[in-house]
Amino acid sequence: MTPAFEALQKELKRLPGVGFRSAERMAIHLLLEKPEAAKRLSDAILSASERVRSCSTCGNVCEEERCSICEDVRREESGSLCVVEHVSDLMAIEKSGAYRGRYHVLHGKLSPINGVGPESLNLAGLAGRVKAESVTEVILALPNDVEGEATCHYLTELVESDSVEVSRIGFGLPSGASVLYADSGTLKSALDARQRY
Amino acid sequence: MRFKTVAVSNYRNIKFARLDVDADRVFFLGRNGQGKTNLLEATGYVTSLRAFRARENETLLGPESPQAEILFEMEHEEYDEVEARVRIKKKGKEVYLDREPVRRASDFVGRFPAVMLSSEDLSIVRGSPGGRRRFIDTFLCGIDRDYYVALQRYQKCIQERNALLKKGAAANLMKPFEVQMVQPCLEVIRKREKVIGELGGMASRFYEMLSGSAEEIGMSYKPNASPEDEDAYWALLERNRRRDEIMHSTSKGPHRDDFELSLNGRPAADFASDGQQRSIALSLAFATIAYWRERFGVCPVLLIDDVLGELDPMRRQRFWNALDGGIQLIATGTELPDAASGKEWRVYEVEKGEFKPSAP
Ligand SMILES: [Zn+2]
Repeated sequence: MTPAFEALQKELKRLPGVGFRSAERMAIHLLLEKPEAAKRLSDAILSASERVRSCSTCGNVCEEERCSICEDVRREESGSLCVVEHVSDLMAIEKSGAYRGRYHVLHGKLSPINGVGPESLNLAGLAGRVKAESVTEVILALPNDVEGEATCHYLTELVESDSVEVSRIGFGLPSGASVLYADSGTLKSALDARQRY
Repeated sequence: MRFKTVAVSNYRNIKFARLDVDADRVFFLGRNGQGKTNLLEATGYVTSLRAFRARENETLLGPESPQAEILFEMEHEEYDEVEARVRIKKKGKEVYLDREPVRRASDFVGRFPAVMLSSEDLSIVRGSPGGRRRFIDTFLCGIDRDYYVALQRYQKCIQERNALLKKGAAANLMKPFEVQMVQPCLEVIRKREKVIGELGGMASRFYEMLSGSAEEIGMSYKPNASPEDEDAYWALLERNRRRDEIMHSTSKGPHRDDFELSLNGRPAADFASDGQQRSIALSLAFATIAYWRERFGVCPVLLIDDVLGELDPMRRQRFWNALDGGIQLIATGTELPDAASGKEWRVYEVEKGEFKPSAP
């Protein structure tokens, strides 16, 4: 291998979900098999990284100061603000069409062992938004692992008040699943999140 | 249950091995450092999805390999013929049961019991509290999925809290993790207490058979702290907060638990001879097997790492007499087991991570 090849492979390997072998495959593909793809890819990366940025209000991807969701006044009507860990979570919820309020993307969750504290999360504007946008309900759509739970607890302390209710999305059975095959953790969450029929 | 085939790839020093182990007695023979314990460890992985000698996944992966894989073909009292496959990666693992992905580790843990007996287990009486905790946790994680989940949550919270203590973090950052410690902590303590009592009683049944003298084994829980309810646990945390802040770690809780073994009411670590201590350790292994059979109707496989040679001839003979013929036994050692074992062994010779069937 040459130094330039190795430099590219090293950078590719830094990307999420890419291991040593896939980085090698990608580098061979881009440099030897499809050299024209390398140009297109690098142009796309450059142009996207110049234009795309994080919405100054919610942290979603956008090309202006604020994203299309934040610009949409109808989104304010519901009075709800949904807090997610990653932009990909926001996209998944949008795709489901089940929610028409606004979002706030943290870009992570509290994890002291990984050096992630409140200062590394997109938290600075959150409390201000809740007041300024007359939010009545904050919906926490964060994972139910230890770090996700801790983040929920921290956020509740931060935003809950007489006029703001904090709720948590339920963790229950996937649709179509049978009670018989669910593990006890899932069953417990499903029972905790039961609703009046 | 019983293993019929065990295959591994890129597991520690073993590039690839696929062994037919469909026999009552299987032996991996070889000098130290050749890989026989590695394969035994991989075999035991099926029980709690943990390796008995490792904390981090990464140490299990072969050189320059992004993942290790273990395949088990088994015969099981409840599931009949079944195939399990585990893919271990640097971060996390994937588990497949009869080619269907298993979504959560906790759904899988404990279905396929194997009981491990290593030299560390043989010195459990006098060994470190950490060794005794590992023994009781391995057993409990196998028999109780809720315990497995609670223990993982508790340990994770302790790690996060300790990281915060090191940084001198404020109380409002500590609290989100502390609130999650309370329930798992109480559950871990309650379940350890119960099972330690039960295992102690069962171990006594085997001690006479294994040692030749009728003495009573006792196992008593020595909790580092024993809060009875949530309020008591919060009070405990508050009482030690200042000290924790200075020490940069959480000083009180089940992560510092221990239990004590006794012989006729006297602490075995101080009063029992070496031989007696070994018989106690063997009795404990037999007790865990009996527990599985009596409570769950599944007979575990016994995995013995380099321990048979450490027993004197008399104790070895008693060991063979006490061992039920229906149990599959997979053992490692530098020398073949003696004729006293009373059964035919299927032997594999191990050298530099390669396994070859030994000519009869
Ligand atoms: Zn936005």
